[in-house]
Amino acid sequence: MFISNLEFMTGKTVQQHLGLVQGSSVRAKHAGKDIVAGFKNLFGGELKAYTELLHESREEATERMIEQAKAVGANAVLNVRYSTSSITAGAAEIYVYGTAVVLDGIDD
Amino acid sequence: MYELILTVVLVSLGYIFGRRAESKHYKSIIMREKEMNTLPAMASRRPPSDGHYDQALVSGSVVIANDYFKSFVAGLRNLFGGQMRSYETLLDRARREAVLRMKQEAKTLGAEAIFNVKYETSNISGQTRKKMPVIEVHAYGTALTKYGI
Amino acid sequence: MEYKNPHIPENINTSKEHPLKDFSILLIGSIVLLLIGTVTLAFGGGWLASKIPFSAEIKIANMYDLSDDTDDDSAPELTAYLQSLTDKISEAQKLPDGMKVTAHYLDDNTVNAFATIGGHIFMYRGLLEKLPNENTLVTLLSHEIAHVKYRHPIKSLGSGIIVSIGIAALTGGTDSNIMGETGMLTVLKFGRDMEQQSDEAAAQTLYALYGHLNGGAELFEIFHNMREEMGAGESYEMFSTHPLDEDRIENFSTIAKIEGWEEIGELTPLPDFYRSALKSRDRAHQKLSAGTK
Repeated sequence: MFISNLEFMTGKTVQQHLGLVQGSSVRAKHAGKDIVAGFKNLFGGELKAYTELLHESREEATERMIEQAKAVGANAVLNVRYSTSSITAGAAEIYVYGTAVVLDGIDD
Repeated sequence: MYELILTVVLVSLGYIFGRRAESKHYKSIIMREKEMNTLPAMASRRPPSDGHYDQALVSGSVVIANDYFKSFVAGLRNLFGGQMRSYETLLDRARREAVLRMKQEAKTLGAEAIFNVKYETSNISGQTRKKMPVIEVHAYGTALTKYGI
Repeated sequence: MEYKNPHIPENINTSKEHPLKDFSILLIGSIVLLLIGTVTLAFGGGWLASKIPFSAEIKIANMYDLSDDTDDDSAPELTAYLQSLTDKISEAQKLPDGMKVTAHYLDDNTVNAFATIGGHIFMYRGLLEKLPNENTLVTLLSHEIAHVKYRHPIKSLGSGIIVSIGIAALTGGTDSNIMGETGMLTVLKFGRDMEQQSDEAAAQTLYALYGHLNGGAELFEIFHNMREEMGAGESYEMFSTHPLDEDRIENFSTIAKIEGWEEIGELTPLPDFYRSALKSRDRAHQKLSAGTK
């Protein structure tokens, strides 16, 4: 699966546009890590637990988007955009969406 | 004790009504999505180069709240960490509903397709723990209508 | 170029799992976590509280004005008798320096006795009336004094306070009344191990004072009979912190066997004024309460 946030793939032509596909994931860290993060707020620095949390979330959301794209018969997702929104304290949603397309001359 | 009973009642009411409302909403979403299948929505920014089109900004938005059961489960989940499954359906419903409303607007314009669709998700309940999450999803894009018809 | 909008299958962005499954797993998990947390806090609180010196415990007890509320000085002879036995037992149990136990008499029908912080032990008339001889009374007093000796009241209070602080922190409640409840001091719950420790100390004291254990087990028989009368039976063992009465009786004779102490011996009668003090007090009290009504 080819994923890009460009409109096109160089050297390939888009055969079919298959509309929007999207993936989302909401995750929370356990309370212990929330407390550690609270302390970190005092001194600054990277909140490793949250970096990890959002990274995991983003991977999962991307996986889900790819699954949708496969389901509609696409072989690439173009113009991909990520967005992050806070749902409740300690939980964040990662949302990713793009256009599912069928590219010429790509297997898979 | 009184508080415990109140919580149990609220959680079970939230579960029963929330689940009923959700399955009803999903049915309606799936039905309307099939109707709107003729009007594709794309994240791509480049409209087809053949022909001339009228452009119009179309949008759809929805504000959705969690039921008590889901908030309760989410609260417990916050303690342990991990996937917050109870919010997944909430957000999924909200996004699909927003797109459907956007498509509805485009359809009244006689559009053929919507390009450059973007989503905006915002939590409008405030950040305090006690408040139930209220989420707005706003979907917008450019509707293209064949010129001169 | 072709533009289509095929239908995307469901359940990619949402899970197929039934929401109640997630819910029950989480609920069980948090209950387990809560139990572990409570036990840890209770244990930690008890351990911390046992480090409080007895002199500080007395000051804490004075904060509650225990004696002002409860003391009944209309049976001076009886109170003096209870106190003299208490002093004798305190000596036999070799209480640490500075630890002084004060006996109080409560004119009430409740069949009970309890120990609380500051070395105060309380005897209800309801229970005193049922005691057949001095040996049983000494068993009762020894049991309560042992609670004081092993610092059970302050440990139990400490656990209670730490646990309620923990619960308040968790629920976000602003319960400023954590230290303020005097009622809490009379219902201090001691663990089973604490009760057993006190029972053993009571057996030792009984032997030290009388040279045999006769009369000791009768105390538990009184409780046993009372419970049968109330119809509660022994089915609530799970919820009770006291070991089963039968187990306590058995425990008593086990100690006797291990130590080789006699279980039979001459019983010391209660002094003559004992019954009359309880009785006259009872009538006087009834008159008094009738008068005030």
